Amino acid sequence: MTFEDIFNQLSQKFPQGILGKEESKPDASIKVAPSAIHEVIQFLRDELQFETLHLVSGVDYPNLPALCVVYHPGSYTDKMIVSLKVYLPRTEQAKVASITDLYKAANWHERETYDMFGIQFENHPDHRRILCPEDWQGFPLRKDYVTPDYYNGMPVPLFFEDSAPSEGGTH
Amino acid sequence: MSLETQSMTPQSEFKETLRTDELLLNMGPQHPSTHGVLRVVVTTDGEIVKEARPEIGYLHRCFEKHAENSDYIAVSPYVDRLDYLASMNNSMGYALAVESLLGIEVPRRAEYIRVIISELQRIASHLMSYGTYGLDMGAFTAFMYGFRDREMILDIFEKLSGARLLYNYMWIGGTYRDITPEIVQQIKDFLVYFKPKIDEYNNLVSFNKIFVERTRSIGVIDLKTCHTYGLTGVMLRGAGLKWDLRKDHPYSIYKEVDFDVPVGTGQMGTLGDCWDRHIVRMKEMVQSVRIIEQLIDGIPEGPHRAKVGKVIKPPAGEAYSRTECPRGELGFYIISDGTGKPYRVRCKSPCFMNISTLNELSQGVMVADLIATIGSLDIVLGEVDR
Amino acid sequence: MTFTEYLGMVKDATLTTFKGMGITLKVFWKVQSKGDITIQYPETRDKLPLGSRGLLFNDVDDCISCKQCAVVCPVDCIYIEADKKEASSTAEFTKGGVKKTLDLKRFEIDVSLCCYCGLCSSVCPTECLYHTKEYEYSVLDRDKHVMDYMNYKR
Repeated sequence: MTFEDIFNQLSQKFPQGILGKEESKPDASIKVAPSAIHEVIQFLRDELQFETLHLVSGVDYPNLPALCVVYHPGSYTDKMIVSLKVYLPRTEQAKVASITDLYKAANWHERETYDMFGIQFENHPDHRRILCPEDWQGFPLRKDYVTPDYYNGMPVPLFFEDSAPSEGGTH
Repeated sequence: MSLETQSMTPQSEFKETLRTDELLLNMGPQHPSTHGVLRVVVTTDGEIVKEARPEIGYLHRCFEKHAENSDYIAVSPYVDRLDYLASMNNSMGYALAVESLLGIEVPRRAEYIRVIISELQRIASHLMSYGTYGLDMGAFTAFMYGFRDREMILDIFEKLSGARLLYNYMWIGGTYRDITPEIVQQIKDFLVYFKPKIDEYNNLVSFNKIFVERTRSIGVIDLKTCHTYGLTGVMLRGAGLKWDLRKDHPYSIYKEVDFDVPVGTGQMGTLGDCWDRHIVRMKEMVQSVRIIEQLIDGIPEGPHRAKVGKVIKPPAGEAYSRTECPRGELGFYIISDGTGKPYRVRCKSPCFMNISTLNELSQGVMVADLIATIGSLDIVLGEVDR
Repeated sequence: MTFTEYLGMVKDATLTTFKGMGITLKVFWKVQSKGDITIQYPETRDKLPLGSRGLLFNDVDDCISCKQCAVVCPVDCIYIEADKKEASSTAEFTKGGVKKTLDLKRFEIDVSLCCYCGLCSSVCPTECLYHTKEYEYSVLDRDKHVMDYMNYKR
């Protein structure tokens, strides 16, 4: 099966759910509506033999503005990976359904996406931060993130402005 | 409990009050058997483990944010430091992703050197995993012998790139420095020395009755668990599926070499147990020696790096590259927006998924079996936390 | 298990243990006859090969202040300040004959930040910045790790 076959099959089965495809080189991806992502991935797993989930990641597009969640399910029978993108509004309540009941791999990947971007996953069994400490403020991988100066009394940056050696490099 | 400890423990531990006949044991971040800074919160009923929950994040350096603020060339040293015990394979994965974004072709000489060096690095990483697994089981000799041979590989890499552990050798478009005939001779001498050693290691550790009794039928991962947890690499092959990215989704010049893919057979216990994964790693070292022997005599002449220019500016697009690293399938998902710095670099690390299965694997086993399971997963915390 | 199975297990255990001990005895004998594998540091030091990436050194007489090393450094540990030369001053040349157009005022490297990646030495056009084989330079105060190459005293 090729990428085109999968896109055609999905567009036929979910006419409202599939919003089109992004023709980026070298890997194209399929745009999915946030309300339909759970059914689309269930269809991929049950009917099209996509046995495993490789990656769930987040991307921040402040220009659009949108937060994007990218899913990469993989198939061992067809030896391929397909890329699905879900665009969410860039607010405090960016929500999408969790796919932990379909693939257990999504459990930790979604926790990391929440930790880094602040995207909420509904019905996630263990919705808390994974890499940053539990009481960290802010979402580090957003483009407008500013590192805090102090965390629980400990200084965070390597040098503060007044004591740094001046003009490191040319940045 | 005082106020400080209350703020540090997560809320779920206080949701149900602790039963008085269960012990909450903290295998803390500093522990000789956890292969790094890993914290495992273990609830035991006597000697039997009820729940083993891994807590990670102690080595989190936010490599993905650093990569967004650096040029494409300057991300290479950061990528080395992900899985610091198999550094050449990491940088090869990143270089492959950027080269597919740029659309350039790597010269033949560079491809040959890359594959030889990747396989040597795979041998070094498996020797390290064999040594530390023996150390966890109590066999100190295995550690010493494994490291003695790993030092020879590290000497070859030091002559080649100048550093012993973090090489920054696989650059975008080829390699950093060229390989000399002296180094080729040193690799050939090493292969002649190393081939009989694998049988010796098997006789010393793998078929030893104590080791077999400690690792058979422990930590059984069957194929269904592999698929739902997204496990790749040695976990899949130990469970019986003959899947290797170098054969099923080949990259570089792996199409032109001939090698087997070893799988676990359940010889000593159940299919997919710790012993199966260990013996698959030992057999993979034999196959790596076979690949290097086929390539070492026929390195073609030519440049060792394609002409890419000082500033790398790929056109806008996305690329996902997959390579077979010693610990599993390493993936790099790079989004470029046409400027000199990447827009998003996401690293799919195999150890991240391997350690997430720990709770399911260790229900109802004894505490010593928990150590055997963690050792057979072969994790490196630099890759788990990035 | 039956008694024969138990005896089989005892036989397995004894055989494999003695096989393993035979291997260690062979290595022990070889080391006794050929000598130690371990190098006794600090009495003897290993010889590092050519091209080892140790401490950085910059020969500032050859530097043309192009700032390529500072731009490519992943951790921004190189601090360079250079001014435009006045038209009336004498022309200066590097050892290779390249004319210097800028006046180097400050060249410092914070080696506690350096990650020894080798990128700066590979982009230097006059090859004045290079890696030495030095690896023993610990200090008691972190500020002493900011190496000032303009005022370097041998």
